[in-house]
Amino acid sequence: MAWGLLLPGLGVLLFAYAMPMLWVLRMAFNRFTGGGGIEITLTLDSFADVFTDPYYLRVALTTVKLGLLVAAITVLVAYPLALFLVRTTSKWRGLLTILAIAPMLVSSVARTYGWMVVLGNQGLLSAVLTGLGLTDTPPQLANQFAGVVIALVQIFLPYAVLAMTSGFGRLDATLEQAAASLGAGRITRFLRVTLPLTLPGVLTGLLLVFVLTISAYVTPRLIGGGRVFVLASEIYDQATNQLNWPLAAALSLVLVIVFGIAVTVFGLLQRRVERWVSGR
Amino acid sequence: MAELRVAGLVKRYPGAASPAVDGVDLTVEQGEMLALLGPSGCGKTTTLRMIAGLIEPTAGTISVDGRDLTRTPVHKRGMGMVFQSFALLPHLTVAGNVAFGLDMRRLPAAEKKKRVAEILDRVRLGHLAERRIGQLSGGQQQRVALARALVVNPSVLLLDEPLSALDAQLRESLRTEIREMQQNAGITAVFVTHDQDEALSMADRVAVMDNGRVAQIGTPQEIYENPADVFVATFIGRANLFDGELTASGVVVPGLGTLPVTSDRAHGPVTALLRPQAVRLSADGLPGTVRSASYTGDQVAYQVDAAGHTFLVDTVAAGAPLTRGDAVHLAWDDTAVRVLPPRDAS
Amino acid sequence: MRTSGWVQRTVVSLVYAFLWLPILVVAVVSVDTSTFLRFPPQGFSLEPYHTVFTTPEFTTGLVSSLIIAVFTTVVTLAVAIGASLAFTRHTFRGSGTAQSFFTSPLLVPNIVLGLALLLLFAPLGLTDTYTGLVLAHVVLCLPYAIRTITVSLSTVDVAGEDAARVLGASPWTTFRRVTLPLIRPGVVAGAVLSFLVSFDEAVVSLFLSGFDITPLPVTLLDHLETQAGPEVAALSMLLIAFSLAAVLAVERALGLGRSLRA
Repeated sequence: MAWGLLLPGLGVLLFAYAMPMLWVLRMAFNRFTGGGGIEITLTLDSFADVFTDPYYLRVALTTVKLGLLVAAITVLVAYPLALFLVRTTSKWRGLLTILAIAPMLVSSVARTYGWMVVLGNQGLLSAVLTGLGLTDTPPQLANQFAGVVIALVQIFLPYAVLAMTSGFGRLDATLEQAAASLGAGRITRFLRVTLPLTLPGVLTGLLLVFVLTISAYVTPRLIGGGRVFVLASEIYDQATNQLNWPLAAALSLVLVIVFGIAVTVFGLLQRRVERWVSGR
Repeated sequence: MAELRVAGLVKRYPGAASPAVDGVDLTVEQGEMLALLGPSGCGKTTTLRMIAGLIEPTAGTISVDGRDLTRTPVHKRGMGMVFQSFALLPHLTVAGNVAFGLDMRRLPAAEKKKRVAEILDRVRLGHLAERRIGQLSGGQQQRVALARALVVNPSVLLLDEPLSALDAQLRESLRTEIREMQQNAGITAVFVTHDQDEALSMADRVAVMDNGRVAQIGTPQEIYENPADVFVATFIGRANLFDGELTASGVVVPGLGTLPVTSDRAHGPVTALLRPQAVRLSADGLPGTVRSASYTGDQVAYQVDAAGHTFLVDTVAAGAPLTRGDAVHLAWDDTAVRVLPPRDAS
Repeated sequence: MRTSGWVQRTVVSLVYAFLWLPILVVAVVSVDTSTFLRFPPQGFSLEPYHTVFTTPEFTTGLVSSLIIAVFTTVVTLAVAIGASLAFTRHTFRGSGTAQSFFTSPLLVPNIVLGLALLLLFAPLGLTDTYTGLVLAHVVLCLPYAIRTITVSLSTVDVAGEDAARVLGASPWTTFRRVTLPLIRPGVVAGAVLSFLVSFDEAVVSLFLSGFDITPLPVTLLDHLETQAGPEVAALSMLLIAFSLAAVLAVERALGLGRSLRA
């Protein structure tokens, strides 16, 4: 009975999810013979390409650097907002929460376009800066790494807020009041009570934004505009323009491995933090 | 309007150390109400749900009027059931809930309307027919649930702790109401409860369950006066229990001497039972000292230390109750003493 | 305490401003008269919105996206309701593993899933077809729908279903007349989220679309690389408005936080 109910779903997932994923794994070990030709074999050629060509190493490093930077900044920006949403007793709390999470469901293409307008050569930022007489030459943010970081921070902010507000469950106003009654000042209270209790949520937010960033394709392509190369854009280019499927598959595996390393590292950190917070 | 027969019913959950229901045999006569009484986890609800068809038995058979229903799916058994949480459907009105079973039986609209109105009048809820379930009180919800189960003229009515979600006062009045409706309809009923008062006051017969088995089955009076073992004796009512040795002259209890009773049990270790109501405070007899007295208006329940034992003594209140330290004498009729299997064995 | 409240309010306001800035900017540019991307706007006009609906590229993209989203939603719901019933109403060996499997596509980078689907679907002739795109989108939407529907199912009292069965309702009738009406909020939220995820999906679609079928987000993506005037802003604005309407629908049905929390 139960398996009968699961059968349609299993069918779809096996065909359009499990099989393709296994197929891409297999493809990474085939040999590219140029011009879209693929030799079915078992070789590590594509991996050799990825790990010996300094270009791909640079792309991989850029991806990881972007991931770490965006994760750190996003969590830093999301933290006060999440803390505010968990603590506030305002009657607008529901609306404020929706306002913080709703952009998550807005098309990332549309939001990236918004940042192109803001950061573009004749965009909002440049208009404001020249208007204030701060600079004569418009900043070239749009085609640069910084632009990609800013846009991705905004795009993944709602995810971080959502992960952090659900991770802040242990935060109890009475704990902070208790600390205050014991004579702890505002900074001590934050460092000794609030921060440790919110740390698990912060870690979840960091991990989530990191993995979302290293997988991001649309924003680096549109705002990075041919100057910022990441694994995702390289995978797409190899698959559709160079038709080098084995290499695209190998790069995908590298991305998945980075993903896996991140999940493992954060898992270890999370366990350590849990142990510290729960005092064991 | 039927006879329900349950034979050798077993339910074993995978991974569980012992079966939830371990060989239950029951026969419920037409129009009879049987209570399944026992502590939580004794298997009474599992038994009821197997009768309903909501749980598949591991072994055993369930039949109504000789027709084997063991493999019949729940929706084809034609039974009625009242649930502990009432299980009313919140998206339907009172009338919609009551009509649900009739819809399933594809009754013509006019006939359906008539029967719904009739049964709602009988439970005094005719004026609330178009209300939503959420707008009803607990007692009203209970009566809707009862009406919904009865309107389909079920072969057997099953009630799963039907009163436990209600407060004490409401419970009393609904006991009588449920019992009356069941008797008027002449319907065969099984109800599950952990409340001994409820079981004794409502049922024609009571099956006391323990650890997945029926410990004893009988009329309330039989169960109370002649319990089969120490478990039944203590689960139903309060009891003075004395461990002793059965000999030809009676039960020899250390400190108390010989209780001169006859029993067809084998000689050896036994437990003697003496209900608190059977013990009297009298002018002579076993000397003792009042340890405590609890006055409840019409009755006084004493604890009396005598011969190295503490006796529970229930007396009709008359005059000022005795107080702690008063000297008394205890007496009882030897015919009131029951001989049960020894405590350890049960 | 008072100064910290003031500081906190300023910081929180700034974060909200940052969060909504690009969306507001798109709204402003979408009614601009200028023909290319610039700020501040040169004048007010609704012309860009007119252009969107008269540009064949956009209208065919819109139609494709709608067709894909509708079919994706229907298939996702059917599959997700069945799976959610299995997860919440039955105990069976491997239930936990199966549940993880059904929600795991959420963890796979879309760029990798897109590539994987391209590599398998291309030799099968499934790229650039509605079948291929709908199948891919169903995989992406399933975790969301299963999440909202299982939340609903686990809050509904099972005794109501038992009562219906005892009263003579077959499993199918019980589902249709009792379970389904009671889990409607979860089903509605799952449907809206599925429709939206499918309608907004760009990356996986990019790998699977071609000459015949180009969903709207892919069209938009291509346009943004070449020219990005007010009509693109108008199109983006329409996508944004659509998403925000969906947010309200999900919030009213089940609650946004409950629906999205993984």
